[in-house]
Amino acid sequence: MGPIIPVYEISTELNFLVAFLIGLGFGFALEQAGFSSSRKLAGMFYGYDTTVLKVFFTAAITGMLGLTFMNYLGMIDMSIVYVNEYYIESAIIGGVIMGIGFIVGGFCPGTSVCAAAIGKKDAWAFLGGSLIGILLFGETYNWWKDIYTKNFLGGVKLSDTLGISDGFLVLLIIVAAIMMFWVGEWAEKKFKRPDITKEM
Amino acid sequence: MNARVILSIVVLALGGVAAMLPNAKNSSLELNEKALHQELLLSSHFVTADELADLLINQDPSLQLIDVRTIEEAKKDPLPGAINIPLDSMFSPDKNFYLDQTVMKNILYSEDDQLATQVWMIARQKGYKNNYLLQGGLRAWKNNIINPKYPEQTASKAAFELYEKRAAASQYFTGAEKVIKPKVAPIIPIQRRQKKKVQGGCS
Repeated sequence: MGPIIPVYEISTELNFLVAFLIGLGFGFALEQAGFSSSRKLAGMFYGYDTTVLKVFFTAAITGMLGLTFMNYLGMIDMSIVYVNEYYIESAIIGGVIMGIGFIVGGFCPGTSVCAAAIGKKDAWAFLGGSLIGILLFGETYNWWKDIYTKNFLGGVKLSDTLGISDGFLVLLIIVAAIMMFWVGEWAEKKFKRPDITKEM
Repeated sequence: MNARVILSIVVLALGGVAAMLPNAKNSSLELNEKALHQELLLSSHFVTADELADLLINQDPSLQLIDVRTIEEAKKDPLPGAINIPLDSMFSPDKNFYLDQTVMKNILYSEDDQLATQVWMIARQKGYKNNYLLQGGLRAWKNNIINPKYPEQTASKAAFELYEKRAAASQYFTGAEKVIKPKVAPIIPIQRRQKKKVQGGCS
């Protein structure tokens, strides 16, 4: 079995079309999971709704299992799968900013687009803020350049850093995820709130 | 049983299987033996001396000549614009980027085909693109471009045209004093009476 789609043999246009279809699917899944509601997203932080945790860890587990088995069957070339590059300072600072923005704004960047698409005004404000932030960062890039590119480690993988096989890491994360799901369900019962899906 | 419990067990089982799988390494970029053999048979990786002369004369900006001989040999008779990377340092980390790139059209050459073919095959197996071979190596270059042979009188018109082109290229690369003028009397075209066009009628 060869690769499903040989990336170097399809045209850029077709590549974009595939990306567009995947993007549609992603947006549909987000909307369907109720992620366009910031009450649901903020619930993650207060413990009354852990859908965010469950959806994203389910996605991660599905993706990891899929990649592991497809790699074993020779259907995917893991050497050209993009691994996000790791800059230590950038990751920490960016993570903090993202977390604050998440709880203050009530959206993450992806879900804000989803919510904006169904016409939520707060999402439009959030999206506008993101774009202004991007513009400001771009314009003042020279100020941050040093800290932004500090401690570059390249596309490192957790399994390589820990010195274990990719498959074993998958198992560990599945165990962790299942434990988190149980804790999440428990928390949902403990911090239960009146029906949050209804508009106030 | 609760659906969540079943799902958890299934996912855990899949994870257990995944943990036991060996780390397979697939690379769609690397060629296998069969594909490499096929490419060798097609010989689409060859650039002839004439094509190279064309590229050099037109000053193709994407052309990069790479001499794979040793430094001493390469110093004696370099091609214009060539860089020298001996075979033993070719795949070292600080030289690798000359071959592993997608911008330039690399043409590898050595005295004959052999050494350059070795480099080309290793590069191709590593999945590097845009690498070509000078067909016949420097020997073909010298025989065909620098010192082209005047074709036999009975040779085809194409052979003469090729010779003229090569002689011009030789002049370009070696300087004007080496021009070899063909010693053939020009053929005077025979004048024929032109037929008159039929006039009138429906034409």
